[in-house]
Amino acid sequence: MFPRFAETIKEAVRPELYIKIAIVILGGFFAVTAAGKLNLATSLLLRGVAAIIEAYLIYWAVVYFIARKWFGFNREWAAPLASGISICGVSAAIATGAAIRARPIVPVLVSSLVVVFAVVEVLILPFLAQTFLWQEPLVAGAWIGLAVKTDGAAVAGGGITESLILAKSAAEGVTYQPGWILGTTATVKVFIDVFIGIWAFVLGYIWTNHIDVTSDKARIAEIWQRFPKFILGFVVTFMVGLYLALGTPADVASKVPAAIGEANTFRVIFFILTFFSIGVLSNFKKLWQEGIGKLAAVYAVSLFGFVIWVGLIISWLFFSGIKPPLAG
Amino acid sequence: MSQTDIRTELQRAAPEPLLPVEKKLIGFSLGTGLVLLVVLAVINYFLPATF
Repeated sequence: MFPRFAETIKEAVRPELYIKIAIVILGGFFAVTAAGKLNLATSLLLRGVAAIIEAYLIYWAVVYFIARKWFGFNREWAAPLASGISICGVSAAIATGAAIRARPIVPVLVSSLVVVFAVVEVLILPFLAQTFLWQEPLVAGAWIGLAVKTDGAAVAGGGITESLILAKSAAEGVTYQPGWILGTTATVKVFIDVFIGIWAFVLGYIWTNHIDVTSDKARIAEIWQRFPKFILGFVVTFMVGLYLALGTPADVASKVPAAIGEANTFRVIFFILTFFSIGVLSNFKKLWQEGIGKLAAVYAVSLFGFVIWVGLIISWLFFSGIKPPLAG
Repeated sequence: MSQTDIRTELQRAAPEPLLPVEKKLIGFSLGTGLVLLVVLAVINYFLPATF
């Protein structure tokens, strides 16, 4: 939105780094939130896995078909575009581009589209969720995780959605525990990230063996190379938080929520940095200068015509009827 | 690659017909997704979330 300003501070504008730090801190917060309701937390995790398997298999195939058949894109453009739109934005586009041995410019352009559309989604979807899904808070959280691409925008969107829905519910006399809606969004997003490497490998294998046959074959080690390592940090903070909350003497465990509350302050700071960075990076004008209106058209048709609605159906199927615990 | 090159490439790219392996990938992915959707929805119905 502010290209000159963005250029001046470009070294510091790193939304993906900021959100990953926030997600690692969030791991500890979830652990403490989940400790009191382990059954519910486990149910949410299992439903998160089910939802994202669906998202991968259904979203990718349809978006790839639309890009290839309706818009006439070649394979080099269609595969990163399908991954960017359907899976997890920037990281999926880059992983797929590398896996199918596309030119570096392809995922870079797709990524610039992803950020712009993610901003549009973050400005619209949380308010739709508050209006239409406030009675199904976890459906709303999962929906944001499935519909908004890029970790930063999705988790930021989950945070906004949680605030809006908690406020609306409170106004209606229902006070939910904070953390569960955002937790659902982040869980869905983290699982999506886990599978990026595997999906990129599947595509890389097909491409290098059956489509653009090359001596540079996809290797199984690429799954680990493309595995988003911040997830390890999230798992570690989650496990440590869970151990402290459940596996330590009562006098230690009683102090854990306050300690996580302190860490949560940093999480909020990194959230704000993420919001700000995404806003600074979003250069709507540049898209048209680069003449990639056709890419944007595929994105708009797929996102608003398909991805958002299928995400809503999947979220509803797996999360409807499950409510966050009441506060107090 | 310059901006003009990208614009030209995207506008003038020769159409590439879907190869059989691409059709298989789309069909397998979508088919598996839809079958799993039904299976998981049924499991979800009979094994509701525990609170």
